[in-house]
Amino acid sequence: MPEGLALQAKGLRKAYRGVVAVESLDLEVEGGTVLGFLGPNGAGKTTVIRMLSTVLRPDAGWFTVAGVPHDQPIQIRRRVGVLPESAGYPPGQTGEEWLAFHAELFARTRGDARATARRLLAEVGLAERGGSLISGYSRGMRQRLGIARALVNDPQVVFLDEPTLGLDPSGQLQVLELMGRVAGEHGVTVVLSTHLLAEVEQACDRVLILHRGRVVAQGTVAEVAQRAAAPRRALVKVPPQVRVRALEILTACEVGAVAGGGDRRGELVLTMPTGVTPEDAASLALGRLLEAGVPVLGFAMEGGRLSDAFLAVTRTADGRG
Amino acid sequence: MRAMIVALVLAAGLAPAAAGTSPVSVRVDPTTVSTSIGQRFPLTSTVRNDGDWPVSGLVAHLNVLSLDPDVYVDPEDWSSQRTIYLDPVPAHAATRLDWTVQAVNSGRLVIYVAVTASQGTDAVVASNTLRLAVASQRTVEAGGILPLALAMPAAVLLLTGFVGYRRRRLR
Amino acid sequence: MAGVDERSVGAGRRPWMVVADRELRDLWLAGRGLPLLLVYTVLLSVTSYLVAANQALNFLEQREAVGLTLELAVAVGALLVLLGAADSVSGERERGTLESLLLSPAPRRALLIGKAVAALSLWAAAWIVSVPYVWYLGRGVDVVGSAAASSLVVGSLLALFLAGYGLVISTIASSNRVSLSVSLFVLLALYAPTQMPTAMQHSWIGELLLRLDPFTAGLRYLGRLVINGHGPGQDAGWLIGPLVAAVVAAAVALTVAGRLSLQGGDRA
Repeated sequence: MPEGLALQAKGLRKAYRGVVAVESLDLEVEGGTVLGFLGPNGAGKTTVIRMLSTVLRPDAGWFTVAGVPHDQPIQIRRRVGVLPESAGYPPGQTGEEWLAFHAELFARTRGDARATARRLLAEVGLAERGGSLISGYSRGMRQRLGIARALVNDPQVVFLDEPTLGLDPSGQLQVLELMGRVAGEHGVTVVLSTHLLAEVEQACDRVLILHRGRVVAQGTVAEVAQRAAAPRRALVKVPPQVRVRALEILTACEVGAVAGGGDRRGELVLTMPTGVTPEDAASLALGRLLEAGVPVLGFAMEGGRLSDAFLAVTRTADGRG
Repeated sequence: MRAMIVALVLAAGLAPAAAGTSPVSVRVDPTTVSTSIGQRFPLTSTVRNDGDWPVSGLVAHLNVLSLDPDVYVDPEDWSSQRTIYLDPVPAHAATRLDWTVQAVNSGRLVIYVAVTASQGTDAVVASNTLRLAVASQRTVEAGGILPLALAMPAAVLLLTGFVGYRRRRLR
Repeated sequence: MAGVDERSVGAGRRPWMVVADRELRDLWLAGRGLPLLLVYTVLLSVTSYLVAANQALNFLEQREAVGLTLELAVAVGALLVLLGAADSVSGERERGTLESLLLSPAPRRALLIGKAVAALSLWAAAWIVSVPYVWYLGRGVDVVGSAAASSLVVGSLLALFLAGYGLVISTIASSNRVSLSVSLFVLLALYAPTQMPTAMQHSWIGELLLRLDPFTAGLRYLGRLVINGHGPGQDAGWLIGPLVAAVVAAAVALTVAGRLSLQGGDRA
């Protein structure tokens, strides 16, 4: 097995009552990577995480986690931390009690477990609420508590399944910042399962897109976006009276096809082909317009983002692309 | 020939009525007992074979009855072993049977032992009576249990409240 | 980061003790343990008061009063254990807290043992609460010691049987509702032979049924010892059924522990 691989899987398969949830999944993740696990609802993300964390047994295939083969589930559990998607929390326990309990399950002494719980609560910003009942925690606090639980055993690999689900934007930001801090300070490999593409773009080094149990794309964010061949477009907004002039200038740039904006008055759409660096092309077009004295009221880039790639690959997989 | 027939019948068990009274007799001791309810006391019965032949297949059975028609007696409650199957009793010999009895009813009662054979005639030989006087003793009354009946739930309720209060302070 | 396997293994408490500690605290400090015990105590108080209020209480009825109290204690105590065990796994599954447990390196068997300890504590509490009542009702009739000891033996065997049985159902049931329903149904079925006609109870098949059914066998033993004044060994044969049931249920529960899972799993 190549050194440095935190996760490796080959041919993983899982079916429930004849319905295939994951079909022949192959995976290789380097240590220290933050991997974004993307996919629509029902794609199989949670099933994959549950298999890799040994909560579910795959029907076929093999995997290793932190170098430990799949036939040693207890050893794998010692090395991973998981924030499950549908995690429940006992309302009658305090955050500190619950964390200390789980720390003890990882063979810590009682005193060590309590100290670990307090340390982790401070790390996730719950130090002042650690002695309060979980029933009084907000959704965001519970998610942070869950992240603390995922770190209780100093794991080598952390799986976060929809960590921002149900949180408001500030809560989402807090969780992503925490995740980044965890990955950076603890040096763990993080697998972030989410359907929020912006999170992956913001926080992840690599991305893997699942659709109907199959991997449809994987690589760095840029690689996946480019590989999906989603065309980049620039929306240029100019006053109506100079629209024709702007159209001529953009056409002369030869950086892509130019068309009127249709229903959008005064908007021109510049579609850049693949092979052209969108940022350079856009910069050239904007520069020519400004040199010609054309007032540019707005200039926005579209397409070529992860969200576009996601839609493109999933539609292709559906046969609609 | 006639002597042989008589001998055969005698050997089978109790002598036929036509030959006179049964050679088996039974007696209980003591004949009077005064005790209080719930107390156990020993009772001895002696089964004697006054005949010239050994007697086998004898069965002894303990019975209890109340002299008060309003008192229901279940002899099964008085002794767990009410029936004893005897070994053969030699001629002109006696066998002693020991019983342990617990007075579970109060009032005036009578205990006696009946002996019959497992085969042969249907004659039953009864012993003399043991006259029993059992004093009642009320140890349970409603007023006495009331403090306990109230205190136990109250204690659990207090404990529940205390624990709930402590947990609520953690919110 | 190396994970906790590089710590000295066994530095902490055994996993089943950690789970048992947590389950006991959840049950008695944060859960339904004390409210259930309160209901049980009220039931015992009402029953014993009504019995003691009988002005004609004589010796035998006093023994029967003790017997009734013990039957109630054993029956209700066993029911509490069954409810606790039947909710232990399926309830966690529905509350979403099971996955966190399954993600720990604690053996599945240790998780079940810890939960069984918590369920059995309900019987222990029920027995302790019944002792003062038995003492009061049994004073003067030479039955308190034997009643308390025999109820502890019979109740513990039944509690162990029902704890094992409840855990098995809870582990394999598809929902908490199914687990509780099946468990209660079986408890009712176990109690049913006591309602057989007397003549049938004395037939060979009736007696066999009564002896095989751990519930009826245990209560029969208790009755004979307390009410009829039999010695502890005299009817010991009646304890074979409860003993076998307890051992088999515990063994099956430990075997089924390996099947402890999220059951089905959710598709993302």
